[in-house]
Amino acid sequence: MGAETPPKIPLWAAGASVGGFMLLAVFFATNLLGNAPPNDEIPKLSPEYADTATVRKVRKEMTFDGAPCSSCHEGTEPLQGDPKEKGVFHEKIEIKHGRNQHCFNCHHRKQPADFSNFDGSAIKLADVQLLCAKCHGTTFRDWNNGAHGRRSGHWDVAKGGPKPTVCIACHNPHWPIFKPLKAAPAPHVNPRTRARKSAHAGAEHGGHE
Amino acid sequence: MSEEWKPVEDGTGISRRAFLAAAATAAVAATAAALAPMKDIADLPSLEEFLRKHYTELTPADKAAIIARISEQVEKKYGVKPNLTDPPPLDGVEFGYALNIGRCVGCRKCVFACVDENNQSRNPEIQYIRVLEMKKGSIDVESSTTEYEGEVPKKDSYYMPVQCQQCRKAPCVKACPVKATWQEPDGVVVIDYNWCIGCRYCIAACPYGARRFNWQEPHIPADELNPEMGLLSNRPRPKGVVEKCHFCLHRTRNGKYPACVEVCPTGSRKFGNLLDPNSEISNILQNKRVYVLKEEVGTLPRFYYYFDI
Ligand code: HEC
Ligand code: HEC
Ligand code: HEC
Ligand code: HEC
Repeated sequence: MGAETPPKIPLWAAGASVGGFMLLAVFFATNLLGNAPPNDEIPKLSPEYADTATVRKVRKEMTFDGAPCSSCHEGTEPLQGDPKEKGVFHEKIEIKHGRNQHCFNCHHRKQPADFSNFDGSAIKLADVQLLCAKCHGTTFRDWNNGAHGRRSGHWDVAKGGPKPTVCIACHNPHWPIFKPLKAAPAPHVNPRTRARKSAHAGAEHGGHE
Repeated sequence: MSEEWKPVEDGTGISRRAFLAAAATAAVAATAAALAPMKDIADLPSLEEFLRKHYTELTPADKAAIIARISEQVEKKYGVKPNLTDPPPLDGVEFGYALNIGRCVGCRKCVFACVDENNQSRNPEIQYIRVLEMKKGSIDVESSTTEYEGEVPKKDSYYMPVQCQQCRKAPCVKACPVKATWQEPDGVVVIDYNWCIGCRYCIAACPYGARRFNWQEPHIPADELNPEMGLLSNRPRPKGVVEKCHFCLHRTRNGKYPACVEVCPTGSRKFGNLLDPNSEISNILQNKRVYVLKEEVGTLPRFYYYFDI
């Protein structure tokens, strides 16, 4: 057998593949498609978005205009009747609590700094959930079990256990409906996603991506 | 093979050797041009980082070395000395989560408490929790929106926050080709950020859209960095890996509540040990009307939604 001449490659095919690679090189080097759109400006996060404070500040002691209740109510007979008729002092207080409109459903008749239980005994401010429990038994049960309201601290009893949040940290006793909140900012749409979305203009936005 | 591609013997073509040389040169040029952006990559992985073993095969000494190395990197980058730990799962604990769908008002505080706690990138923005605004009476996720603003709750709407559901049969774990994500004994699905190759199969597999990908280098202002870090949870992630909710491992394995539970102003978020019959989560599962998201896909989530009755 003679020496084999190595097979040759047709010029056009060689040219095409070398040329193809060169084109690719030019394509990548000139960055023809351009870079991705730059990120949007996103303002610095406000610390209040992640603030764990409750919606309402819980008072530590019963005062009115800085004075303890006892400075005006101590020793006096319970005031009777509709406060709105007498009212000059507490007219700021707006009662929007369903049919529960009477001050003494909650406040104690003889000790105005305390609250009133079924049997007329006093409930201290620190145990105010027992007052709510008089009329909201199922919610109170759920709160005791951790299903209503909030707990913080530790889920692990061995580490100290949970600390419940009192009812009046979320509900104003005089006007207890949970007030609307201002939502923290919506998620920013990635500029690329936005470009894709506007290309499909008309398509309903939705889904969770 | 078609006729044209047969090598010609008549001497008109060019030799294979010459062709290969030319083609190879052109191909190298193309590759070099395509890889040109890589020259900007500043910190390549160190050799020990490169040779690291899978998380589950690390000896305590390996782990200590890794923790020291990552702490040093974090300190170099952010100027903050982190308290980086790797708390182990607790015996007799399986975490569960419940969300009161009737209480949530959609204020998104959970989203930002999570971002803060877990050192998520601020820009590009990465958030583990999505709050869906749903039409009252509808359970159609497709018609929901995440873009609402202003005062909440809106009329005729209810809100459904969605995050990782920590599934018992997690499709993401099955999809991962390199076992970079797995389920811990306490039920939390975690990610080894050093093992993840960024293929994003898990993102495609997740029916809840709960996983996020670091398309760019994450950006966190140094003064907002949370220095309390867990190796498998909130320590800063590199570009090119997947991340998601991990029930705040570094908090919950130390007995604390996750950040989203602590922040919720309505008290809609509940967390605890499923194996403890007296925990609040067990109580809810026993006494409330409970459902899971996309039950039909069979993922068996540890994240429950409930109503009061
Ligand atoms: C500056 C004096 C003053 C202080 C302090 C004060 N009150 Fe009064 N309060 C009054 C007067 C006067 C009335 C009757 C007029 C009215 O209803 O406005 C009244 C009425 C009331 C009533 C309604 C009783 C009724 O019969 O109408 C309640 C309940 C009450 N106070 C509770 C409190 C509590 C609780 C505190 C402490 C947190 C407090 N007050 C502090 C002066 C005071
Ligand atoms: C649902 C029960 C309830 C009713 C009804 C109620 N209160 Fe109160 N009130 C409370 C509780 C609980 C507090 C203390 C907790 C707080 O202020 O957060 C309080 C606090 C107060 C205070 C001191 C704080 C403040 O807001 O200035 C005054 C004064 C007061 N009540 C007056 C009245 C009067 C007058 C009425 C009737 C018009 C009334 N309350 C009806 C439960 C009630
Ligand atoms: C004397 C009985 C009584 C007491 C005590 C009481 N409530 Fe109420 N509460 C009611 C009634 C009645 C309603 C109205 C229910 C309805 O309209 O269906 C109501 C309604 C509410 C609502 C729903 C408000 C709304 O507009 O939807 C909240 C929240 C609430 N109460 C919280 C409390 C809290 C917190 C306490 C303790 C500080 C408390 N209540 C103490 C009787 C009471
Ligand atoms: C962490 C905040 C928080 C605490 C603490 C809390 N609640 Fe509520 N509560 C809410 C929210 C939010 C709602 C839902 C309001 C809405 O849907 O507009 C609510 C609703 C209610 C309602 C209306 C009925 C219902 O179930 O929707 C009652 C009654 C009530 N709460 C009573 C209480 C009582 C009693 C306590 C204390 C034992 C308490 N809450 C503690 C946040 C709280």
